[in-house]
Amino acid sequence: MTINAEQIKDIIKESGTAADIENMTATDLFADNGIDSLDIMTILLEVQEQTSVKIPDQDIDQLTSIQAIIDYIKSK
Amino acid sequence: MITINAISNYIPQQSVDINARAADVGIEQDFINNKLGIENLPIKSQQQETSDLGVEAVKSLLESSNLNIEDIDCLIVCTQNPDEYGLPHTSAIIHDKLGLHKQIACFDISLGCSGYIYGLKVAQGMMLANDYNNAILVTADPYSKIINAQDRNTSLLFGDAASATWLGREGSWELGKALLNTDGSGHRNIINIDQKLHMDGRQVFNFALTHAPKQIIDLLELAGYDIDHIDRFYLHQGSKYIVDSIRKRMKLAEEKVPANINQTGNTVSSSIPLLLEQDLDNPDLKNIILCGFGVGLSWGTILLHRADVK
Repeated sequence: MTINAEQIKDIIKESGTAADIENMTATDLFADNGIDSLDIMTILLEVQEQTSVKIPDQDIDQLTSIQAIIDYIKSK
Repeated sequence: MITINAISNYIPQQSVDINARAADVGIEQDFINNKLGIENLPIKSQQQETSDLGVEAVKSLLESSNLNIEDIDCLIVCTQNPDEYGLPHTSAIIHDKLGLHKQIACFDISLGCSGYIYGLKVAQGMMLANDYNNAILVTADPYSKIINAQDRNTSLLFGDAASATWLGREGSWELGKALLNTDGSGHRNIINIDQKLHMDGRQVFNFALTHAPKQIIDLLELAGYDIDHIDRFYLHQGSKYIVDSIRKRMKLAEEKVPANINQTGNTVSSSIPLLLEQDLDNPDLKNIILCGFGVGLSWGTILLHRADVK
């Protein structure tokens, strides 16, 4: 299963966060761009639904950027 | 026909010092305002028991409506933080404190945030099965009894309150179809361990966002209603973020999804009646949805129709 950066950016936009998505690179940390823990819950729920990959609580801490999500989903 | 005739609420005067608690657990004001949406968290006094909150709500109901205390056939209390660890049932204690007559059925039901929806259907079933004319559904679940003030997941989320709903035969809101669901595999996601509340916020969020919208859509299909036929959606006030997220996911207009969590926090099974009380006499509303979700995991949705308009 895969997901790409554009798909994740679209998900982040839909989440309603105030972060500047257009200028965010794949390796920028969510936390540095004003994306908080609740935004991340929304983003990961959507990622789960789009990829059918279940993300357990213990893996959340490593999903800190767009690239980290891409790599995680690819590994599943 | 079973109807909601009137609702009254009780909100304790005393409040949690939000700024002090936020500082204790390291939560920033911006997060409280924009995500939790909390401005006031009512908390009962140390001396007040769960039954006292219920008694205040019922007294308010009796004072504000034309229900005679002698005409009450049934008293149902929804709580998971009862008096005396649940033995005896809190409804019996409320019965005593109000001095109710003895020809009355009293019992508790153990449910959390879906409790109001379940409670309405339980009351309806009792009334139809026993030819009762008047029932009171009380919700009173003071989480302050089990909140760990140092737990940043829950310490700034829950407020204490109680509600009392008069169900009768000739009120303005007819109870319609409902869907009541359970997923016990998630029962540990909101749990009381050693008299302290533990909540897996992410799992509860995922559950709410996944199941509540689907149940609402399923109920509308079952009842033959289009989503545009619904004038208001009264969602359990889990947090501002959850309510906003469900609203956005369902693409509902903001004015169709009332919210009051800023004034009370999450009051568990009381959150929906607290909201509904404000709109009960609004003549512009014809068909409304109530949806509660939480502990269990349990979720329920019910349609209400203005009784004189179909």
